[in-house]
Amino acid sequence: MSVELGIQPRVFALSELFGVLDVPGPDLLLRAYGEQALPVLEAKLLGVPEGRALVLSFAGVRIMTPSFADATIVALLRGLREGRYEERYLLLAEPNEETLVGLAGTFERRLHRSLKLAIVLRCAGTYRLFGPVEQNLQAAWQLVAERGTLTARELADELELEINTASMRLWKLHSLGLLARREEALPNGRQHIYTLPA
Amino acid sequence: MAAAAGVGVIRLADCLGSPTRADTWLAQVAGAVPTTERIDLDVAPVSFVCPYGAAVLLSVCQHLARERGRPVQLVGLQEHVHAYLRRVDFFKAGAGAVVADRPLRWGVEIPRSLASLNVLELTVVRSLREVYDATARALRILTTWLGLDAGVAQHVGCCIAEACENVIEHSRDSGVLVAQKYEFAGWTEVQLAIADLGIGIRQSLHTAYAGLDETPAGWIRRAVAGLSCRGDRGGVGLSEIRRLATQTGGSLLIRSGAGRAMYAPGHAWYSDLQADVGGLPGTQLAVTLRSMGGTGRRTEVQ
Repeated sequence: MSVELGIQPRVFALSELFGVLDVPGPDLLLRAYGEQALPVLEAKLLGVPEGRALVLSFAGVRIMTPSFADATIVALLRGLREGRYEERYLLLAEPNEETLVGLAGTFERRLHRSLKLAIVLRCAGTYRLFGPVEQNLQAAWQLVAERGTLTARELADELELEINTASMRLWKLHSLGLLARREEALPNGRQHIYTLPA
Repeated sequence: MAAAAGVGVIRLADCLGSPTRADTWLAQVAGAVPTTERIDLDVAPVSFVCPYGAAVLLSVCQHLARERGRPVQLVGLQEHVHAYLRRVDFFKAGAGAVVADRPLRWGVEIPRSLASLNVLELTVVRSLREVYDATARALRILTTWLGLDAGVAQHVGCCIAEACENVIEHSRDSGVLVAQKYEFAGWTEVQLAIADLGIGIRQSLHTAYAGLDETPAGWIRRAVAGLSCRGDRGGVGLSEIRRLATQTGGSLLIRSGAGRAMYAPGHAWYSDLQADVGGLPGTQLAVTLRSMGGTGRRTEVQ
């Protein structure tokens, strides 16, 4: 599943961490270094306006080991899920296949710890979901990605769902940090408009 | 330990050529060490040493040397085995803990040339930075010199980093790592060994989970399943190594004290030494990673 979008979120090059950690690069290794890097990444995330996303770019990074990812990306996702960084989002850009293999394993282990993790990836200008996301949620996310914006009513009409079901699916994607949303006032109430994090 | 005067000799069979055989020897030697001041290891029958064999031999020598305050002597080394041990910096990594009974004959030494670049020498790691550098060096060797596929090399790099970080973080001791590439008809194999003489998996976990009662192998099983003395923030390293190794069709062997676990694709085996045998301190890992597409015969330098 992938779509092309023209949005430009705020980007932090993970290769900048080499200097912070005082290592030569091009690898991001070890939990201990990850724990040193986490405050830097948290500051970058909190530096992004609410409602916006921070993109972590893997350009120039050869390997990120599972332990480093666990101490950084997983920690950030968990913090986002727990509301510690308010309504902000995290995206990963251009991770190589090996890093994704490691990250998949790290996410998989979290399945057994009541914390299902998933994230939006940006690779070669296209966006896709990464992590254990249910099929029906993937379909809803794909529709948002294709259209740019989507409301529960539009999703319900498109997939012939009850409005409550459509609303729940979009809310779930939002609570997983996979969709951003804004509120819009209507003559007869309010509705949420969902978009990809940017 | 009160050591008796004199020299005690431990005789080895040809037992260091594969992780399984080396581990069997390790289990046997744990309960059969002479109580003498000096120990000689008679290694005359040893004809081949795999990375885990080298790491285990070094760990045993270091342990015995620590107990006695004097180095262990290797006697009867076959010339090609002696040359290989020198090539992998065995005596450099074991400085002060192990010596050979005679110098290597002139002309037998294996040159550090292109023909012998299948090896990552025994490297001692004591700090995070040393782990970082050793991993980076391993990656450079694996990709540039050994021509390994980048994906496989990165698997190996991840295994090295995860295992060595365990040594630094949990064992409270320094560790040693060594790797060797072998080529068989149809596949390439990288054997890695990482060993330390620290507190071991059982004690590391027991400090955090004092209420749990487990066998030594049971503690290893729990560690591989993700139990960590760091609670929910840890437990990644061993499970990742298992996953990466078995995913390639390879295996993982973990010896920690009296416990042993062996993992292969779809299988896991656990065993413990007899109740009165403590085993070697620390943790010793043998990781085998495989990739398809290798050609030719073994090209190791022995």
